[in-house]
Amino acid sequence: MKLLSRERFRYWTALPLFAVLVGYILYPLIRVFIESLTDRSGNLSLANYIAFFDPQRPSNMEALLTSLGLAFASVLVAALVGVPLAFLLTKYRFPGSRILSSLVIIPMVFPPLISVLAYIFLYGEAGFIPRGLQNLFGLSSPPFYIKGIGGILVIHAYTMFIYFYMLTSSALKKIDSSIDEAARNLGGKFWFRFRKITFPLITPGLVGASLLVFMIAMASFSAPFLLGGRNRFLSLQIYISKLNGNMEMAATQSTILALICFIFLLFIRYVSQKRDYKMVSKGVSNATSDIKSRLGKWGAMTISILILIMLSLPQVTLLIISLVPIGTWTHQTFPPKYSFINYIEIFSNPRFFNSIKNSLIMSSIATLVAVIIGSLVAYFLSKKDFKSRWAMEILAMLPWALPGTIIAINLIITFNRPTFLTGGQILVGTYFILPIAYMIRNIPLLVRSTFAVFEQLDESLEEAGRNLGGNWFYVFRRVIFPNILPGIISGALLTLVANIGEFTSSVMLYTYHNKPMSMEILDQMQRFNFGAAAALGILQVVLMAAVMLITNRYLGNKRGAVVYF
Amino acid sequence: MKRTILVMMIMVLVSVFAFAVSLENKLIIYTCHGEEMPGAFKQYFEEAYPGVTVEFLAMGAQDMYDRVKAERSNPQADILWGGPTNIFLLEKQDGLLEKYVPSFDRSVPKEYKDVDGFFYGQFLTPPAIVYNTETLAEKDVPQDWDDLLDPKYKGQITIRYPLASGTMRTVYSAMIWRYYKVDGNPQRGYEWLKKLDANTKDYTSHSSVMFTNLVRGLAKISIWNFSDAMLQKTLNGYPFGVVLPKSGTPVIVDNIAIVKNAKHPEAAKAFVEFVGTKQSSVMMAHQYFRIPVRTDVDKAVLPSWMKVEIVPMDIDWVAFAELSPMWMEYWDENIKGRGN
Repeated sequence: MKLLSRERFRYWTALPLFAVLVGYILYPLIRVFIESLTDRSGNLSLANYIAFFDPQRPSNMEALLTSLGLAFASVLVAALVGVPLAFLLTKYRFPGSRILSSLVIIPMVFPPLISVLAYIFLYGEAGFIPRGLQNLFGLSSPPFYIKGIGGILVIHAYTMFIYFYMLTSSALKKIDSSIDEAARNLGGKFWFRFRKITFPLITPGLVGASLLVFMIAMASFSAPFLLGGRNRFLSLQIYISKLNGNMEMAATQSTILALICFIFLLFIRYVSQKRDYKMVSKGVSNATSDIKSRLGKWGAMTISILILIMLSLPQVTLLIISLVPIGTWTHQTFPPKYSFINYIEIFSNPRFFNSIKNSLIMSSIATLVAVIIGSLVAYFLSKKDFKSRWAMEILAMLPWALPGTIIAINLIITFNRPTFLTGGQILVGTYFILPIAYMIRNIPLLVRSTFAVFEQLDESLEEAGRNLGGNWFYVFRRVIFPNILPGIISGALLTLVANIGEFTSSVMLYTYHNKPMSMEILDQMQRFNFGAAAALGILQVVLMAAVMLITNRYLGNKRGAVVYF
Repeated sequence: MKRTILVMMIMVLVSVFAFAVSLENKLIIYTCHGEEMPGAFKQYFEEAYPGVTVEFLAMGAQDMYDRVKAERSNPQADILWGGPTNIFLLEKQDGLLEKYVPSFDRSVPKEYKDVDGFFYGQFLTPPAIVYNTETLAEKDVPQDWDDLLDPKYKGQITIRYPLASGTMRTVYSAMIWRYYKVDGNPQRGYEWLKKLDANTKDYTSHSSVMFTNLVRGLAKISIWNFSDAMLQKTLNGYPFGVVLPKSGTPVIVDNIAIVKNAKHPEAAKAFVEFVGTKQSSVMMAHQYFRIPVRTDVDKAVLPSWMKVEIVPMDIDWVAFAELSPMWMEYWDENIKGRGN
């Protein structure tokens, strides 16, 4: 007689798990959809959709097209940076290539809001570089600067190239160089080999990265929010409709954006399952080759130094700004005064310290809950005989496709009244609405990272344990759990720091009780206290960098899980 | 020293009130008066009422409306401090405000308060043309609203995104109102705003970006409320010049109200009384450039700049409150970014 049979465990765990996933993910989406079908007097109608596509009121269509165009262009620029870089760093070895390949993830330790702010200070119209060049050459106006859609694209290239880089380089690393050698020995020319061997093998990675970047760019909020100027974007329209008190239109825009993102999620799933060429060989031999020629070596080194400078300049800028005392910097190109006062300030002034505390506590709550839900879901997904696997996967992966704006709108519309799920409480305006939003966004990431661990786990381990007489629970506790723990911890740490830098949902949901760091940063910008804002930003960057370092070094995270941010 | 005396005077004045009812230990204020003045009055109030902790959240007036509406079944704020009458009228219509008739009721002229006592005007805040004195030559300074349409200002005007800001909503709607009251339709007003759009360099998502643009010389001209522009100029030494248009400006009555079903009603009432006293009004006038609506404040103790005559634009605020959201939605869809 087993204490807890496997079937019963599954049943009693799957049921509440489904309840939570449906209640906090699916149900809010349905509620928003219903809201979008409601006109202002509360009747069921298509009025909002008609208004959305009305040629007489083109702003929504314009926003949709701008967002789509921006997303396409983002894919292009991110690929143009990421793919060549992946080739350079995986295929060739030259002095400095190892440092570059470990530092190439720098943009990942940059929360979205902070990276946009840093870019504005660096390349904006009054930024260090445009103004510096203007002064240097005595020009009447800055030679270039980032603004509008072009500016957003530059920032997207910086923050999103990493997806192309990682997926391409991991595909390249898997290629068995003996195939390439064989083809060469048979007389295959470089282009022929590229077309017939390399390209098909990296295609799934490229398609995956394209879809991923498209989806993320579509949902991008911080960059359009701060740099959009006179343009319209779908993600921003939602925020504006809500601000204008037009909740029904916000719901309609949300539904349409969610639909687009959802279609892309399905594509990604499809691509990642199909066309995955498996390399059949024992161990993958090293495909890296040294650059032999002197010229090539120096060229590669120069390029890498330039890339490193480009990658780290935004962080350096932020560091410089964090040393500027309030009110000392107005029209000068570079700040005239520097001190550490802002760092003392953010830890001693309760106002700043509270925001740090809020962010840390809320992020921890969200991560903890998401870890529990995420690992359970991952466990079920890894069991091929679990019948409702597909339903659970779709439910758990949905929030991944949903922009932060939509998650916020979902929560506002759903939990603006007492619900069964919240124990009859109204969530809007309470402390917990923000951790819940974070938690929902975290679930897919944790499911993915934990699922990857389960997949690597050899089924025979579990079998061996059972054959030796351990009951199911004992085997889980003593065999499975210790094996998956490092994976879970590294996934959890990464979501934790992502939450600390969260901005999009926060800006729509925060209250005075739970004002997070991102909002304090924005407030300090408003008060011209650039220094304190940047110091808070640096704190976020340091936290993220520390976590990256820990997970890479001690938990053996192969950066795989990181990709999904 | 002066401040201490003022605080003590206020303390004595309100102490009678304070001992009559016991206050809750907390007070939460949503305000669109920025950070400086609420920060100072948080401190004064906490000194006057030990045991009450004041928290405030600074935001735009429209943002404030959006928040209280979203939180209506679970109100977070006790006080709404600041914001134009048109927005307070909407809040009243939506049943978001609690009626409270303060002791200074009789000192507030009836055009500056709600007929039913749901909100009270506190300051008169005239929107004005703000410019950078270092980058814009004296002779080029626009003197009136219509001057802003001059093509020579193309790309030199930076505007706080009007949909999010009570001040800018009021200014934009007032520009339409000027024509609406003659024509009975907003068409010429829309044309006017389209020309302004053509000269507008960008709409900033946050007033910070607008100020940054102005201070760092990315744009030369903006429209903003007189009090805040003067405050920023004085506090931070920014090179701002302020012009009050002679043809009249839609003087915003900045109101104060208690939120319906507020969690700390007694503390809220005490706060309304506290910031409504004559002494507070004088202090705010001197330190924060706020023009009091109270008629019983001695002109002699008010700062000398307040003697400058401000021409209020003739506006029917009730009709204005009704029409403004529609106009602004039209502006956002059909005018923003389309002038050239």
